[in-house]
Amino acid sequence: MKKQILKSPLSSSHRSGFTLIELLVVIAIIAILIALLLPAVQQAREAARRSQCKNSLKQMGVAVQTFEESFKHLSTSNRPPATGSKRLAGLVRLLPYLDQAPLYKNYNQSLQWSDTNATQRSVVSTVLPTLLCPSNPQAGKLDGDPDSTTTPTGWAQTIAAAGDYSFSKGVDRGVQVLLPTVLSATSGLFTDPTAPANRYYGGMFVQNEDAKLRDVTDGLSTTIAIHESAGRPYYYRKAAGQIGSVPTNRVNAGGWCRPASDILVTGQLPNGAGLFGTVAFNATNGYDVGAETYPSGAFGVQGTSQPFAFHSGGANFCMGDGAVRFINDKIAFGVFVSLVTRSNKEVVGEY
Amino acid sequence: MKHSWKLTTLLMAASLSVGCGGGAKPWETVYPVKGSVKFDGKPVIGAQVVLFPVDTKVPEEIRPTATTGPDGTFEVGTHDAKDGAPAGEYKVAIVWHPLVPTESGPVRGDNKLPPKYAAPNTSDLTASVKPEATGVTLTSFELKK
Repeated sequence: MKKQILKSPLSSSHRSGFTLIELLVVIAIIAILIALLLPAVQQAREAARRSQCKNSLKQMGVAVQTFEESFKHLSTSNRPPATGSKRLAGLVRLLPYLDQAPLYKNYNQSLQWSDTNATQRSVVSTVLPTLLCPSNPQAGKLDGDPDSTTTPTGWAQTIAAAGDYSFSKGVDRGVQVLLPTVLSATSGLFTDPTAPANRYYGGMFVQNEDAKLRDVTDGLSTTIAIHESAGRPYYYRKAAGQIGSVPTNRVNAGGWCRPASDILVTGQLPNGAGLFGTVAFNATNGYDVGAETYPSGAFGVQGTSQPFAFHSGGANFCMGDGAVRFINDKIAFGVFVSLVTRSNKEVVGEY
Repeated sequence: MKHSWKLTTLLMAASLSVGCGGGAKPWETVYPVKGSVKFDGKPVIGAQVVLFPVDTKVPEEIRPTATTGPDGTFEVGTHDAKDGAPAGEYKVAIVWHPLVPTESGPVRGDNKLPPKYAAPNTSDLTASVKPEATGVTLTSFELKK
């Protein structure tokens, strides 16, 4: 036995070490492992941002349900036509349920959101982190007052803090001609109770009506309540990135205090160069009104933003039951439209 | 040894060409398409024109669209604005939702064109796009009540 121990390689005079080749091989393996890991770290950061985004939407989803529990109707936006009455965004009504009760108390509902009153201005310019997606490079910027846009560049980025999440108002009637098998030209339209000429395929948060959960007959789990629409009021396309800057390039939406930030889905061209195409979302965050005076020639007084996220491959949506889903942006447009409408009786398959 | 290297290279090249093969789908190539829309003899401004391929093999996301300009003319776009349409036969649907005034400002109103033009199965409008790089000018769509 003793002899054998003595003969072990460590104690022998013929010591073995690492050759240069062996050392190089080990270094190469370590380098490959690091190269594999580094992109993974970057992906982990984006995954973290995406889950924070989901968390914010979940908070809003819970707030929507709590509001409904208290008032027995949803926190829809009001954009009343009668002179003297004021616009009121659904998100303002939701503030007490997002831990922002003091902000809600300071908001004067007898004034327009864009009023020059100092308290009103300080409320609407408050940046709310819950309403911001961390993947948005423009998070925390301000939106302006469209009424001041008497010349295309007269718009000033001064008044309202922008948010990345907005209520789902419905589907624009211009989508019907693109999807004749999904939408009926004559039925399923929601009529604005205060302006009968204003009709669209109603989503969960139709405007000017205290919509109730029972109005969502398509099912709460298959109806979108809140869209992600990031980057507003700046104009973005997925392929080309940010186009120009404000005020020469902008979408008419963004401020969380604005009813016009609510989203009326139109569909988009594949590269985002225009709306009313067959791509559901993520090609662009809206229609560029930068060259126009207010109201817009194509959209009038309506907001012009569309669902859009800086996450790769899709966007987060809060459904009517409070569940948050990451929906792939390759979703068929007809299926997405079925998810937006609240009472069009479509059967929604897998998506 | 030399022989096996050659064989490997050949195999790799073959597998590459198989992997990248298949070629572009016919609807990925588009040709410029122009046209105009008139209703009761007057040009229609801001109407939506949608081309529905007759060929059912074309996927649903290929729907060349256009919006008419101030003189009633339009240029069709499929992948980009005004880039054109794939070659083939189409049924054409047209709707026109002009802005209507309300107390709170103008909003998009009802379709002001006859409803038969709003759907491809009731519309009698057709378009034929030939594979010509110089582009195709469609005959004017004359809509009647």
